[in-house]
Amino acid sequence: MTPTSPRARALLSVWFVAHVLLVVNYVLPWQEVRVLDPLSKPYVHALLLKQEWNMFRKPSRWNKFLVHEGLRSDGSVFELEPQRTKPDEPFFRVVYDRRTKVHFVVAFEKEGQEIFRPDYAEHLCREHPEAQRVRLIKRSVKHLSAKQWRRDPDRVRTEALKPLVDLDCSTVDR
Amino acid sequence: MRALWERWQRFWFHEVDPRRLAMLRIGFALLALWTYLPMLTELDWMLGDPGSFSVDSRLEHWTDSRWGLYANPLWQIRDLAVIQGLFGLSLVALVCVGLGLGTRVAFPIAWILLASAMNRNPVWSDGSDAVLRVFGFYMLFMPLGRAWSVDAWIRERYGLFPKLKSPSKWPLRLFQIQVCVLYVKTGVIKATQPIWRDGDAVWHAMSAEPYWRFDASWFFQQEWFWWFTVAATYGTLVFEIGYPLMFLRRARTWMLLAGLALHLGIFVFLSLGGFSEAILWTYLAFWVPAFMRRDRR
Repeated sequence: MTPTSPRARALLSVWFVAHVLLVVNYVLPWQEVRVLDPLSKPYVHALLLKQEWNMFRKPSRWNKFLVHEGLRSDGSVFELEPQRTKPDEPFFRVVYDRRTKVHFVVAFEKEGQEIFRPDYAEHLCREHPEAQRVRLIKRSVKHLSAKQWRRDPDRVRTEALKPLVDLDCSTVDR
Repeated sequence: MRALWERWQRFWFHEVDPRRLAMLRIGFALLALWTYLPMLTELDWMLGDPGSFSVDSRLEHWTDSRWGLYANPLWQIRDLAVIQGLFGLSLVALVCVGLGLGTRVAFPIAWILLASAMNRNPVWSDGSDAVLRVFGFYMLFMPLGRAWSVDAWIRERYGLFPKLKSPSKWPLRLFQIQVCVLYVKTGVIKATQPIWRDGDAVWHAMSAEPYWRFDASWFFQQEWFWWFTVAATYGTLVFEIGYPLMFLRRARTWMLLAGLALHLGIFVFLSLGGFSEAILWTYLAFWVPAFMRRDRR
């Protein structure tokens, strides 16, 4: 689109200003200054521009892993999805990264994130017909400090386990 | 006032070299194919119903405005064969976008299908998807097939259409402003966090072992590496908050190089889906290769 008439340019200019204001309002980190929210939210969502751009906002001091446990009818426990088995190739790992992302989202303890857990556990029940129960456990491992890395990189790290989901697979439509 | 209006018009409505838009187009296609092609074998759990997040749950927990829902009709499909067909169509459309074949039709098809896929199941969606979706929106307004494309070749070879006017800069300007919004927002929010103000952030970001591309333990055992991460923490804040300097011609090369160093550094150490590649692709909106500058003179 190449507007040439002054009127077309003026109208487009109004849109540019409104658009930038609404997009900036949407990402402002302080609720009290987001005065255009009633307009900016529907606008940004309708144009599929929804994104808050918070990457690396607050890097965690812990590494987080999702432990996938399955329980067979004989009581034995098995691992539904192995943790930390990286692909040999460091660059062609899109699918592996997607799965890591899923683990992160399921284990992420932010308000609203828990909605993903029941469906994910049901999915694991369907994927593993031998599982009678599925348990999802968040395993957190504390990062070493710079001093700890230099003194004793192999030291036993502080760990924490937190159960997230315990699902009886007989309740799932397989 | 008149001078101000002239400057405003020059900023938004000046001509842009169609080859700059072609660079964005080809980059988008390559990036999206790199990211989505491997998903072909994973569609059952990613997009299928129930999959890893069922359509019913998605609808139940849809908290955005209803307009966003109306803008995403495709992801409410439950039949896996239809989903596979539409996903395949989006990949074919991406190949056409890369080649510049039927670009006017192929690009909107690819964009809406991929945006719908991301909205269908946010569990697997990462920063690279958001970059393609958001910046792809601005590309909908760009004449992407005017250069380095099959469309342009056909037009010239057969003289099918009258000579087209040079494209106007405004969609590219909106794209550039959105990149600035991204960086300044993330820089400002980081500056409010103690972990960034204390200089610890990059250390902890790089300690995220699940995202390591290779075993980086050796680096963490070196004293200089700690100082490097502290410098990188403050350097990142300065770079991100100062990103609008990209609009100043004199600062642009340095800003591009700083961004390249930042994101290549992340790319080498951490695998974040396609995020590093995606964000570097947006730099093409600011970069004018030397041969294009020569042609302009």
